[in-house]
Order: sequence, then C-alpha cells, then structure tokens
Amino acid sequence: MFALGEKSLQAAALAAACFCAGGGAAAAPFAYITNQKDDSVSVIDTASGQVVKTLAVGGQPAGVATSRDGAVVAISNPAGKQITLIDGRAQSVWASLPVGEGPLGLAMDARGGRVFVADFYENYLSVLDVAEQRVVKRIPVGSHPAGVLVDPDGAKIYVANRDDDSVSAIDAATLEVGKTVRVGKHPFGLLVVGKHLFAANVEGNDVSVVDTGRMEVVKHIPVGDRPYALAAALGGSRVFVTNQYDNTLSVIDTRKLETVASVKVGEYPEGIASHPDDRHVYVANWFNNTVSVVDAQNLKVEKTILTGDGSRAFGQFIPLGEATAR
Amino acid sequence: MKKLLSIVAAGSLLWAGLAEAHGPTRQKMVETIEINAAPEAVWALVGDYAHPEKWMPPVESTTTTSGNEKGSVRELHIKSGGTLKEELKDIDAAKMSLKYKAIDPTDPKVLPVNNYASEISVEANGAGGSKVEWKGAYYRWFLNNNPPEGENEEAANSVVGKIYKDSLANLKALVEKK
Repeated sequence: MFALGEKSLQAAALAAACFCAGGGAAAAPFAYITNQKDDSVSVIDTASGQVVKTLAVGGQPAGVATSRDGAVVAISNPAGKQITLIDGRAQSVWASLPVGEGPLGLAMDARGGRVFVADFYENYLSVLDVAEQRVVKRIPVGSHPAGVLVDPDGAKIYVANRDDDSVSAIDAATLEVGKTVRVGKHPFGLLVVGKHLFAANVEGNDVSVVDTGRMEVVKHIPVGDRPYALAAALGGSRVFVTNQYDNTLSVIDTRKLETVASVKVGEYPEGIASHPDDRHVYVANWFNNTVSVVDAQNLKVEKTILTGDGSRAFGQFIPLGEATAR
Repeated sequence: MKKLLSIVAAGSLLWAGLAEAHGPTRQKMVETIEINAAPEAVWALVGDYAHPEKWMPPVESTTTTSGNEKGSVRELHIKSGGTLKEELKDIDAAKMSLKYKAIDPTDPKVLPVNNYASEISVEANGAGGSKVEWKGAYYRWFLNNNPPEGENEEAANSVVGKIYKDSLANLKALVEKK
C-alpha cells in the first residue's frame, strides 16, 4: 500500500506540473469564496479587489483549499457530497468527484497533489489523489471532523474532531493517525504558526494552543463569541480569529499568547485566510455576503467586497505562494 | 488496487449511522417592515425584551431573570403550548437594536431549529416613519444527514418566517393605531 502511495504521489506531482504549464503567469493571487446558499464560488482578484468570476459548483459549497502556486483549487460540497476541483489558471471547473456523505473541511498538500477531506458525517479523512481523480484512502478519525490542516513543512496533517473536543495528528507519509490531544469545546478551524497549533473552539469561546512537538495543550486563550477559523499575518506574530456571533476578529499576539485587540468586520464572519503579502487577512461574512479585507498592521477594514449568498470560505482560500515564510 | 477499494468501501459502512450532527448549512431569515410612526414609538415595543407578548401574536406571557438587562433569560409561554427560552446577548437603546439567542434544545413544536440567534433593529426611514429589520440565523432541527419532513430546512424556514411576518404585521398595526 505504501508503494502505491508513493507512486500516486509521483503521479500527482507530475500531473500538477503539467497542470501549471501552458497556463501562463497568473496575476495577483485569487481568493476563492464559497457561497453556500448560492451554490457558487466567487473568484476575487486580490490586486483589484474585484470579483472577476463566479463559478457554479455543487451543492452548498463550504470548504476550500488551494495549492501554494494556485494552480489547483478544491471545494467541498456537503450537500452535493462531492469535491469540485477548479483549474486555478483558467478559473474554470475541472472535475467534480463523489467523496463520502459529508465532505466539509479540507486541506491540500503544497503541490496540490493530494487533498485531505474531513467527512463530517462518517468520521474519516478521505485522501483524494488529484491526478488520479479518486479517493485512495479513508483514514478513520474522531467524531465529526471539521477543520483540516497540512502543516507548513508538509509532515503532518491535523484534523479537528469537533464532537470529541480533540485534534488528531496524522503522519503525512504513512497516513497513520498519531497522537490525539484534547482541546476546548467543539474545535473547528485550525492553524499552525511555528511550533504552535491553534484550534478555534466554537462552543468554548476560546482558542487552544497546542505544542506540536509534544502534542500537548500549552494554553487556552479567551476570544469572542463562537470562534470559527483562524489566519496569521506579519511573520506569524499575529493570529486573527473570526467570532461568528460578535461580528469581530480577535487578534492574538503569538509571542504573549494573548488576545490583544478586536476588529469589527461584517456579520457572522466565518472563513478567514491570509494574503501572501503577509499584511492582509480576508474574511468571509456569511450574513452580509461580503468579504472584508483587513490590514493586519493597523487593524482597519481596508475594503469590503460583495460576494454571493452565504459566504463561508472555510479553509485556506488564497494560495499562500511559494515564498511565504510561515 | 481492488483490495484497497474494498477496504475503502467497508470503511464507509463502519462509520455510518451517527446522531447529533449539525446540518451543513445555517439558514438566514430577514424580514423588514415600514411603519408610519417615529422610531421611538416602535422601539418602545420592540426594545422591551421582557414583554414580547405585547407585539408577538404567538406569545401568551413571559417571565425573565433580569428584565431588559444584557444576560437576562426570558421564558416565552406560547399560546398553542410549549415554551421557548432565550438569552439577551446585547441591547443598545441608542442604536435601537437588540440581539438574543435561543437556549438549546428548543421545543421543536415551538421552534424546530438549532443554534437560533436573532437581531432586531429600528431606524428612521427618511420619510418620517420607521423601518424595522428582524434577522435570524439558525440550523434546521434535524442535525444529522438526510432529515425527515418537518425537521428539514423548509420546516425551519417556514416556522421562523411566519413568526417574523405575523409579528411585524401586528407591530405595525399596533403602533400605527396609537
């Protein structure tokens, strides 16, 4: 099985390479916002701050993941029970693949070869091979897996087991589940900065900080009401957390491991991702159908962009780029 | 290859059949109404969180833990039977806006939803009258995959929508009559 895994990886790498070629250089990175009630994805050109395309995808899209170079974009459709793959160069839907009963959170390896999809209803992580366009493995995890994250060096995959109040680490090479750590109540979004894993606990109104080496909780940081997802900026010195019920972002100083400020955004902020300029974070406001662009330095909302109905964008919805420090 | 596929298939059967999961999509409801009266007159009813029976037709009577103070928990006794418990999350008399959320689990006969949160606000409409906006966000009652009828999104939206529409229409009639 390992031999097959390696082969698939090579094939995926090859496919990803071909995928990029001929597409020409893309402009500024694009942000892919899932609009859950419109069954669509708004594509924002982050240079102009404009929606340049709206793509019809499957049923009630929620999660999103991008390869670092932006060539491969994956969208989860919990109601359509599938993953939609988008060609990030042509900005068009490339394939739709059935993946379990409740695909929700997802993450991609750096090259876009494999997509890891949490199945919220069936409690496993599907490993989708992009080149082969099929699920090559299902890894049983905890109850109601939500957020998924591939750590920056690609060695581990983390899954938030929402109803178990825990986060599991999976070895990216062997795809075996390693240590599981109990965090706060109902962890949803995940983020790694340096040696710290941050988990937003929806019902705990806090963020758990886990030392990734020991897989032990270092601290619980109180944030706003119903925290959902996280993103980092400014060389990882600040982490931003969306608080669904407060219409704010909590700003965490990652050195002090404390909430140091709060930023008012739109209503029901949910998905959040950092721009590769390391200076801005983009926030999807579910109730307003907008995206707020927040300057991480002065904590001001620089721009508000109209998207589609029920903007959720759960995951890394902007390609991080190859040269990002984190 | 065949073996791998069969393992994948068997895995999906093992992990099927679970209780207590959220529906994948939160629902939103927005209703507005224009009222030919000053915002203050409208807010006098809407802003009285402790007494929704004054303008919401389904409510018979209400008890609260601390009136119209933030954090106050109110219990709405419904005319057709059952109760509903809600907590006041925020009230701003200057902005004429209040936020509250239901305390789960709700009685599905009263409100077949989960994680219900609501905000009502009153503002001047620029024509000497008021505009009231009532917003709600919630999940359907059935929290697992493939909900039965009566516990799906349509049922949730139908009940919440009716409460909003009927109450706002009644509010308009009450205030304009004064």
